[in-house]
This record gives sequence, C-alpha cells and structure tokens, in this order.
Amino acid sequence: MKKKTLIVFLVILSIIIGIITGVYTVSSDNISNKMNNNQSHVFTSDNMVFEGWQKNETSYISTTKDPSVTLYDINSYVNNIYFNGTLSQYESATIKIFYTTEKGEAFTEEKSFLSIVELKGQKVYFSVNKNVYDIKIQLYNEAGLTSKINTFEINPQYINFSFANIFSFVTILLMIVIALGLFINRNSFKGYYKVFKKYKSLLTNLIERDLKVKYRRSVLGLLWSILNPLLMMLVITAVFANVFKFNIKDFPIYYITGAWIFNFVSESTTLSLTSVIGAAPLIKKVYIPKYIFPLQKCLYSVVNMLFTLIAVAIVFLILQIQLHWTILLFPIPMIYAFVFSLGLSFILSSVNVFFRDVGHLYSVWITAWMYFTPIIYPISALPAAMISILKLNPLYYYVQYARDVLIYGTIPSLQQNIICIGFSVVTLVIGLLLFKKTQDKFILYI
Amino acid sequence: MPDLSDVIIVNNVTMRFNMPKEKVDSIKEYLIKFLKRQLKFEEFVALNNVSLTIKKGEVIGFVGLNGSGKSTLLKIISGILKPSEGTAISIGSISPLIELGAGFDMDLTARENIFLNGSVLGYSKHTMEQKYDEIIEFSELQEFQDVAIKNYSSGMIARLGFSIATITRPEILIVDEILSVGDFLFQRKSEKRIQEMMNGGTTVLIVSHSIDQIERLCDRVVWLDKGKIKATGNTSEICEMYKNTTR
Repeated sequence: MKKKTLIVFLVILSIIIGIITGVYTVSSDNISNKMNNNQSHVFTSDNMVFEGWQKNETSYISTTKDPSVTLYDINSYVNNIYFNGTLSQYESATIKIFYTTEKGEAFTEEKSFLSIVELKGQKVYFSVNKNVYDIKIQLYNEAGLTSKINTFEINPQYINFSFANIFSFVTILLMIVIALGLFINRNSFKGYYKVFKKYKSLLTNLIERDLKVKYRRSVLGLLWSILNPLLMMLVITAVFANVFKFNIKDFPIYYITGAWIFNFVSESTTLSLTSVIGAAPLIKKVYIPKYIFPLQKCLYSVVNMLFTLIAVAIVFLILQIQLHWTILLFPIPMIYAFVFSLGLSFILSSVNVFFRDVGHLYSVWITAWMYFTPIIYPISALPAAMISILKLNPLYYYVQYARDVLIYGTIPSLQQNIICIGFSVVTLVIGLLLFKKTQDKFILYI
Repeated sequence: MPDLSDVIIVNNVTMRFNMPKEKVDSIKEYLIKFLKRQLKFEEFVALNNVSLTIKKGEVIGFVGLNGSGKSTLLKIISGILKPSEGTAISIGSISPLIELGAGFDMDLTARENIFLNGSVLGYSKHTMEQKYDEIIEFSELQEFQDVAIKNYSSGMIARLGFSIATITRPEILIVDEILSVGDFLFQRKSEKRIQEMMNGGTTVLIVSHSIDQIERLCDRVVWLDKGKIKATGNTSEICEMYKNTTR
C-alpha cells in the first residue's frame, strides 16, 4: 500500500517536471524574451545594409574577404538572432559580430566577438546575449561564396516546435520514467552485479581472444588498427575532396572524425549481430549470462575505436590543425555512441536468433546509413527537406558532437547533449528489455 | 521450507519443445505462414512433471534409454535451460561437465585456452593463475602448452577440458558421459579425481550408459523413462531392474 502511494506520487511529480521542462524547451527563447522585456525586430533586405556583396538576382556573392550585413537601430537586449536564408557553409561556422551600445558609435575591434552559427529546427541562429544599439554581422572570411539572405529576426516571438525541442522534451520525460523504474527495481541489481562480477574475467578473456585471433600471423599486428583508418582516409580524401570538390576545410580531419564514430557503431553492431549465434556451442553447454556476448563485441570495438583515436591524433599533427581544449571531451561522444551501439546490439543479436534475415538486411542498411550520415559530405550540401529527415538519424548527432569537440572547439549545447543521451538510453532500454524477454528461448533456436 | 541439507530441489518440472513441422527461418515465411494459420508445431515433451530432491554430498546416477530426458534434466539443473513449467533450484556453485572444452578456441594455445575456459566456467583470473601448473600437470600436456590446440588430438583436447573443469572443488558436479575420456590410464586418473571430490562432500550427478560405472560410484540411482521418473532408489536394485528392460 505504502509503495503504491509512493509510485503515484512520483509519477505525478514526474509529469509535472516533464510538463515544465517541455514548455521550457519548446519556448525557451520566448520566456527569456518576455522576462527581459526584449523587443523583437525583423530586418529584411530593405532595411539591412550590405557591404562587400554583389547582388545576383536572388542571392548575394561575397566580393571581399569580410562581407558583412549591418542592422541599425535595434536598441535592445539581444538574445538570439535568427537567420532566414542559406549560407554556403554554416555547419558550425563561426561568424564575427561587431556591436555598438550608443547611437552613432563606430564599429571597433574592441566591441566584437565570435559567435557560432547553430541550427535550431529548420532555422539557423546565433547567440548575442548583449545590450546593443547597432550590430554588424561578418558572415565569412572568404570571397566568392554565395548566400541567400532573406531576413534576420531579432528575439523572435514564436514557439519552436522543432524536432530537437520535442525530442528533448520526450527524452526528459522518458528519463524520469526510466529512473523511476530503476529506483523501484533497485533491489534486484545486487544479484545482477554479483553474476556480472563472476563473469568479468570471461569478458576480458573473450576480448583478448578476439584481438589475438584478429592479428595472428600478420607482421604489423596491432599497428593495423591505426594504419587501416589512415589508409581509408587517404582513399576517401582522394576521391571525395578532389573528385566531388566539397567545400570543407581540412577534409581529411572532417572525414576521419566522422568515420571514427560511424565505424565504431557499424563494427560493433555488425559483430554483435552474430554474437549470440556464434556463441551457440557455449550457450548450449554452460550457463553463461547471455548479454556477455553482445557486450563483449561492443567493448572489443571500443578497443579498436581507441586505436583509431591514435590515427586521428596523427592526422591532427600532420595537418597541424589548431587544437582546442575541448578535445579533452572526446570520451563523451564515445560514451554516447557506445551506449547506443550496445542497445542496438542487444536488439539485433536477439532478433537475429529467430530471424536470420536480419543479418542480410543489416549489411545493406549499414551502407545506406553511412551515406545518410554526414561523414564524407557537408550537411549544407543537402536540401532543407533532407536535413529535417537527417535529424532523425542518431548518428548525425554523435558525429556532430565529435566534430564540435575535436575540430571546432565548441562545447555542445545542453540540448545537443539531451538528444544524444535520449537516443542512447532509449535504444539501450529497448534493447535490454527485448533481450531479457527473449534470452531464455535462444537455446531452442541456435 | 526445504531441508537445509537439500542442495537441489526440482519441483514439478515440465520441459516442452515446440518442434515446428517445417523450419521457419525467415520473416517472410513466418508472416505468410502466420497469416495462413499454417504455423503448426508439434509438441515434444522431454520432461513430464519431474520432482526430485538431492541432498548435500549424495552421488546420484541417472540411467535411462536414449531420449529419456537425462541430459535435459541436467541442463535444467545447471541453469542452461529454463523449464517450461515448474522450478529447479540449486544451492551452491555448479561445475557442469556436460561437454568438455566448451568454449575452446582452436586458434589459441593451451595456455590461452586454459584462461579462456576457466572464465567460461566462472573462475577468476587469479584462481586460474594459481591452478595453472596443476592443470597442465594433470592433463599431461607439458610439452604442448604453447601449441595451438587445433593441432591437438581429440583425446588431448578432452584431457585438457577435464583438467580445467575439475580443478576447483565445486559444491555440485554434473558429469554427463565424460568419464570415458582419454586412454585407460587417464580414465583411471579422472575417476580417482571424481572419487576424491565425492569424499570431499561434493554432490555429484552422473549420467552414464556404463552401468558398471554407476554401480561403482553412486549412492542412489534415478531411472528416467520417456520424460518421467520410472523409479528411484538403491543403486543395486534399480540397476538390476534397468538391466532387465527390453525395448
């Protein structure tokens, strides 16, 4: 009886928290605008001042190295500026912003800062968070780039029902539900942990075996784990940077950071797919907790991923890429990708026991997935409709995250983190439940 | 409340297998069959309402013709199979000798396989390091410890498997037709080792088609026939009855 009232209380509490966070995530700009009494403005091409652009029917082409757009007479606190139009490279691009605080003041280097262009739903925006009078936005530091510049909206007053906002809202709700579930079942974890501890050495032994068997009789041995991604990068760079001529700065590093995440997910899930079937001789003869097998394959792929990280470091050194301290955050995208792969591995390995079709289908899916993740092309190469579909792809967020911390030196936003966590944890929970439900029947089908 | 000295309690266990009349292995086939309502299964009852309690330190022999459910019962006791109905509880560590060398990797050496197989049986790395020399000595494979076991003879592999599985003294030992491993000298040695374990208070479950062996080792015999316990009791009585069965 007491437990029941506790559960009801917690559920009600979680719904309240969920609604508050939901309203907040959906209309966060709105709330802060209201609270700070911010005024909203819309600038169209009629009241913007263009410098260093050449107008070409509907689009603008930059003619100097520092083309800019100036917005006069704002005279308010500016939270965010939303941009309507297309830039030829806006993926995590940094733009320079000059501002004045009084009327008639000239733009100086002292009153300037760099802001990062971010995507929110369909819209591109950047944060200012300052009291300004006039503002001058320098979009590129390169001439000859094409943009469509329709409007700049300052402190827009709309509720943003973007996928990202709704997804993060759902994630927070689910997190509360999962946390509740774990809390209620907390007593059963001791038993699981005891079994896991007993079979920990099996886990390490199996990983060791996989590594040993993989490189047995090869002269370079483990070195291949570093060489392989490097060679792959050379091939891809030769093909895509030179043949397709994507406008990406430092293509090799762009590719290898994306491939770092993607190849891990693809390797771990592909190996896990057959892990339970492959362990049939063991499962039939000895009692072993069956989750060990997909888990082992995922951990083995983590080892490979760490070797690839060395390859990434080598590329950084050779190309003399500027290093940011955010590089130290590299374990975070790894953890997100790992949890996601683990969940997916549980799903795939258990379903594959009953229907072997999954294995055949999955190899096709992996190829499709690779092209559906911006690894070799910039996201700006896609039409807007494709971008909104791309946002349903979890790997897009992990790859984005990895590039943000490794290349661009930015700390991913809270929302980016929530989305990554959401995809990972939801996949893991589904995987665990499915695996737990089906595992007793494995032995009858393998 | 079970008696404290009961280490294995099998309670009304029924094990059913669904044998599809034809194997359905793909989603398409499954869906078509499902929609046409052609998914027919033939039920096969491997164990039918079996109850059994075994006390600590007992040595139990299981006899029965092929397909009588001996191995299924042992698999349920060791936790490999989950029964369709009923419960099987066992208290204490179980070392299943259902098949020797489960989890050996043919590409690895004996040394590597000892650690791998040890962890399959749930022994820690530390224990295996301590027992390593003993295992090699018992299996008589000193000269071959760094050879990949794909180059071993089947007898050598079985000897290695037996040595690993019996290296610690488990509370329950399940022996399924494995005392006929290796040459006669090794067989004598392995039987001696099992005997030592019995004297040390280990509960032993033996499945064997060799009535001699059962008569020599067991305190009590369970006779399974077509998934049911036909008789259980004193070794000599049951063995005598069993010997007189005809098909």
